[in-house]
Amino acid sequence: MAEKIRIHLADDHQVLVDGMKSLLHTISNFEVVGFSLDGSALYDEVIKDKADILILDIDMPEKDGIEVIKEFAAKGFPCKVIILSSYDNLKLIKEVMNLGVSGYLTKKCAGENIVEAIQAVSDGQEYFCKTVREKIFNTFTKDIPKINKYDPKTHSILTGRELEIITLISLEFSGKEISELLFISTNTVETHRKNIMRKLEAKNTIGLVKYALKNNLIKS
Amino acid sequence: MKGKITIITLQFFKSINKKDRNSYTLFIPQTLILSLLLFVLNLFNTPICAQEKVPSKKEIAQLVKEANEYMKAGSFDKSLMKSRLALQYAIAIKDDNLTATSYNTIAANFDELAIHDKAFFYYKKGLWHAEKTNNDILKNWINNNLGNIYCFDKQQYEKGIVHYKKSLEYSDKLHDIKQTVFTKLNITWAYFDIGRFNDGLPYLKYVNKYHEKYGDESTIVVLNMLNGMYSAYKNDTKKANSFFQNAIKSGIEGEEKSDLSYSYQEYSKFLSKTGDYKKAYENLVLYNQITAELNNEEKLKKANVAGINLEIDEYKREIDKIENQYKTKQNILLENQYKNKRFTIIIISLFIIIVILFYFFFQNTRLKQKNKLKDIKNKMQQNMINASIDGQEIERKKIAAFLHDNISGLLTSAGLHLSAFSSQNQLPTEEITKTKAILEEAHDKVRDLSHELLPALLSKFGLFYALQDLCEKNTTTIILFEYSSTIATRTRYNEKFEMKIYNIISELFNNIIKHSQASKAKLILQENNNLLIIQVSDNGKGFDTEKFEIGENFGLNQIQARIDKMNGTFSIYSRIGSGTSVTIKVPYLDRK
Repeated sequence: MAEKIRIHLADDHQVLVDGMKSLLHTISNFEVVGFSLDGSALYDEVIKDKADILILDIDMPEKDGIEVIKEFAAKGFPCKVIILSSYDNLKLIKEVMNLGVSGYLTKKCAGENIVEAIQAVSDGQEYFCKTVREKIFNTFTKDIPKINKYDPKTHSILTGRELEIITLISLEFSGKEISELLFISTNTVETHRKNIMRKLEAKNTIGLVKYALKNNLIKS
Repeated sequence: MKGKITIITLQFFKSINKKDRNSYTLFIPQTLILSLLLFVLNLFNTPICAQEKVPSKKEIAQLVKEANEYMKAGSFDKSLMKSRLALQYAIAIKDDNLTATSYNTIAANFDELAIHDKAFFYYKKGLWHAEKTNNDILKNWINNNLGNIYCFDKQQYEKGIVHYKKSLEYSDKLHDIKQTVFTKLNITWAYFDIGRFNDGLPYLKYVNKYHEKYGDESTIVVLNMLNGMYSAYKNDTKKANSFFQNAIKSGIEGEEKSDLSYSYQEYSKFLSKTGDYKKAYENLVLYNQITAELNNEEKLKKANVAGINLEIDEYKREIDKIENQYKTKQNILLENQYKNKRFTIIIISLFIIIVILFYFFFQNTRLKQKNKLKDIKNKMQQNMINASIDGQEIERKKIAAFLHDNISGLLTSAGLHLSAFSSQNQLPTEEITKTKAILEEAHDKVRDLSHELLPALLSKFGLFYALQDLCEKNTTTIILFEYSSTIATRTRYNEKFEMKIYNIISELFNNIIKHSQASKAKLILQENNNLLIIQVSDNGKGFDTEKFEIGENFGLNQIQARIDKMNGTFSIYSRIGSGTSVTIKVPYLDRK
């Protein structure tokens, strides 16, 4: 087993920090190395802890999450940041992502997705919890008549994110466009694409489109 | 003139009353004005009425009486002086009765002095004044005396008879038979003198009938003479002789020289008519003799008064002067009165103008006060609205923060523990899944509510993000909200300011959605000279801004109050059928 992922928690509610700790404790390769109840000295604390990942709440006394990220962006990110907030407004998410954050979780999804999120971000991907991801996708695809509403459960091979990417590829969106639309980096898009091709045993992009058409992801 | 002014005043105030039906205050000025008016007029009337001290009527009457007594005693000069004084006073007090009496006495004096023209002149004057009174006795006298002068001095019998007849009327009216007899005697004589015996006969008969009872001793000569004349006319020689001789006899007995002379003359005429020339001549001689005597006497009398003759001329001038003086005085008085009236009119006009000005001033002040009160009321109302809005905003923020921070945190914590439990125990039971679902739903509810209370974008990223989001959120298949801004999206203002603006725009959007039936709305944001300019327009049905008072509906009064509080301006432009456009200009304080 590789080195444990060092995690720092920043939330002004002790009860939430405790809950998080108890959950992350169940994961063997995670280690909660420290926590803060406000954002005032977070930068130094993260460096001191040598944390890999910072789970950050936006609403905090003294210095809120946004200020902290701005500080990180200005000084250089000492670690990867996952936002855990009860806000699910896309504009807000987009702005936060633009500041260089790696993942965004709503508090609603915390229990379900936090482990997944830490893992994904640790692997170098951008991560959004399910609700946020679906929201992003639906926002811009709602005007595209070619997309069919799908039920992710029927496509057990691919994850929800992978289904979104294959749909957009089939609609001739470029890697860059997809990255912009979904608030993720082009690398992440590329990783997803490779994973999809591997899973579907497709040799090239045409194979992906064929799969999308066959499974009614898009209308012909 | 007085009456006219009063009427004008009343009408004036009536018209004001019509203008302002609600004002009862005017009734006070109206009565006040009237009383003041009367007061002012009295002030001016007082000097008019004020005269130099004159004796009372009684004293004047006494003067006239004394004058009459002097006249009877033959002291004509004294009588004249007294009566002149009486006349002066009588004219001064404008008493026609006393004036006429005074004139009558003066005239009678001149009559006695045989200055008939003057007597005639003053009788006429006396009659003129007497006509204005109801002193019938006086009118009776003067008419009789005038008749005498017309008949015996001026030989104008017709006119004389007219006066006699008038005198007679008054005598009848007064039932003064003695006077009637006297006057009828005079009429008879007048008619006989001009040969109208038949006209004179009824009067003669009346005198004959009543003379014994009511007649005077002094007139018995004349009566006999007249009877003689009538008998002569009727050619009853015997009777005529008897009457004439009776007349002469009683004339000699009574020493009525004048009447005796006439009797002689008439007898002489009769005798010559009957052809008894010798006797006629004798009577004529007697007539001439007595007439000469009489003339001498008169001359003597005149000579006696010759000394005062000059005085009499002077006297006449004096009397004329009295009248003239009086007239001049009256003119001056009239002039003064006129001046006073003019002055009064000016004063009253000024007074009215002042009252009107005061009234308007008063009304104006009241209106101002009313407006002030209204302003204060409005301000208070606005303050109340603002306070309630401020309170609302504070509470909203509090609740939103509480929901967001605490409840959300607690729910998350619960979810995390639940996940930890299921990961440790590897027991994916339905109960745990259901609990997780419930927790998620609770999360959503809390999020929705907290967002509604205070949008996260607004507090975290500012007004322009929030407004952009607001436009997008409100856009549906029915209506499109377009966002357009020349201000950088990252611009931040004071948090409270942002919240207020956000709420206002949100309210305007709600109005558009609820009432406008528009398919398109536009939010335009600009900055200019420290002013944030917000324009919200739609293509809806619009409304009539003339009929619509701002603040009646649509929560616009609240918006107005909020903008007023921020020292901003708020204007609505709308026409039925062509949409509505609201423009707000608010100064912002600090800006990041």
